[in-house]
Amino acid sequence: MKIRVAPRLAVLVAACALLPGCFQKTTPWDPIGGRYDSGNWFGARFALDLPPDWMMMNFVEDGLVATRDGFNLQSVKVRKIKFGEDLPHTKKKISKSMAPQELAEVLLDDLRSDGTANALKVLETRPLTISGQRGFRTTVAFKDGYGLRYKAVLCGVMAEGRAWQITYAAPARYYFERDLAAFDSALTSMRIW
Amino acid sequence: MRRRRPLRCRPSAWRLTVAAAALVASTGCIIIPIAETPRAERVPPVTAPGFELAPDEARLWREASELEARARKSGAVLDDRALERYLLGIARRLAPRGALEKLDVRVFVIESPALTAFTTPDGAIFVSMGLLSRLDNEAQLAMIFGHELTHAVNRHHLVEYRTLKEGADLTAGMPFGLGALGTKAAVTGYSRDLEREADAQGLTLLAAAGYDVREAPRPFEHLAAWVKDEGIEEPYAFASHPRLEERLESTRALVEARYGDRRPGDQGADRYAKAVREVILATARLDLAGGRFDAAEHGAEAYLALHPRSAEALTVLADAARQRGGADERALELYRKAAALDAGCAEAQRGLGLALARRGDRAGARGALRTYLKLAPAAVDRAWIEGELADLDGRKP
Repeated sequence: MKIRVAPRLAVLVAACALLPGCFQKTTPWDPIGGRYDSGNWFGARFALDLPPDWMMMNFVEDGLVATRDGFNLQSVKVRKIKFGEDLPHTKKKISKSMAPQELAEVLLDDLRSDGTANALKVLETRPLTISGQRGFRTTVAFKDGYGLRYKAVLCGVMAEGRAWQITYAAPARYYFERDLAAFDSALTSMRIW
Repeated sequence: MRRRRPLRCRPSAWRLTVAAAALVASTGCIIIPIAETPRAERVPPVTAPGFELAPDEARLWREASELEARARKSGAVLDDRALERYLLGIARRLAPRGALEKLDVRVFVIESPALTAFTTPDGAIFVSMGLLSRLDNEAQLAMIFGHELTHAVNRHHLVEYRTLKEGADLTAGMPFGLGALGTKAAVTGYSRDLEREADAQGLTLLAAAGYDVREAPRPFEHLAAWVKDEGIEEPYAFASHPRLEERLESTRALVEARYGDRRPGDQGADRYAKAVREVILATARLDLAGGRFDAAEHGAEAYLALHPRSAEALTVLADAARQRGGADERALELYRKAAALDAGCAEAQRGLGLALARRGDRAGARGALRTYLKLAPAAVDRAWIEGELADLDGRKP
């Protein structure tokens, strides 16, 4: 029997090339549809409610990036941070034994050391319970590289062997106030397990 | 026995296989051949008779003026007009004859703990807080300004622009937008020959202005130490290529060869310390936030050398000791010292209260935290402190 190897090999290689497309989303963002649930493919799981018209960015490996009108107009970000892991801007590290106030200090200093958040000012910082754990909520104001004024709410908590950073940022004029309630509601609904 | 034929694909199948393999491979890498860019011709300096802006240079100057406006608006530039005036005085003292009529020389301080300086084509010098706080005197800063002024006077931006106008934008990390083209070279560094020229002529300007030329190599030593501490692989702006060690050696050699028998000139150490004192403390705070504890302590100690009774600087030292971990006793001692020096320093009272609470000294902690809230009734962390006080009192906040 004559075996036709070449066409089969070609089909196999082509299949290998195309296969990853079957497992991942092809659009840059998708509607959240009211509730986001991370599932537990990569460790600790989290879920939160956002209004149905919010979109989430695909291809975010370890957390969530969501917006309604575009990332420059408002964004909600959730980031899981391993203890001892390098942070993007500060050389400080988060350790397991940190109190909420110390976690707030490190995450705020990370933002403060971000060269693109100029003239950063802390407006308020206070304790907050997130998913049943003691955490914090800090409100800041800053300017971006083009002078646009932003406000952000930076929250954090230790849960499930990780530090969690939950951030809401929007231009100070109009957008921040408009979507703050949606963020606070998402924060209240947040569950980590 | 019949020999087996070697496995061969039919042409169409072979092409399909190669195409599919290429598809797989292409997701991993794209190689773009880079041709060597020919150097643009040098142009006469702005001080040359009959100087006029070239059409493409006029665009760079427009971009430079937009950069200044953007920098101010972005909040990345320190709003300290007195310091700017002092720094402008140094730049004007250094400027070669005729340059001030052609360039609009001005100086801005970038609120960044990094060590950097650059100039725009029309003569605006940007210098970082980090660099100002590391230098020891005015003569060292004059070496940097002399170097930057040489770039502007000799129109290095135009040469670099014409050479590399299609180059990649490497300036995305700056705290304000730099525009797509004009000032790129200023920040990312010029070619080796232009940097060498700026070093050599910067030294000439330093000497002509009466500064102590022996201080000229020192900025390179500070930069080399910073690059090493930060583990920076590709420094930019003033710290850019040719390699810092090479620049240090060539500057030392130039000083020796040209000015070996010259009497020491003006260092301006006292004037400089007075002018940049607050920048030193502000940079120490930025270093502390960045987790660069050694730099933060060095800055706080430098400030204390100028202002020995500063409770604020002692509080920075105490915060650094606490945040390093394992030095709670030293932190507590420094907070105590700060609070004793200045009972009105709210930050010292706060630090002292929290340190005493961690140690279990409830009465001491309560006293210091209450003093803190009294000194700073609108403190942004009032809710935390009230919670801490409630814990100390054994009640719910």
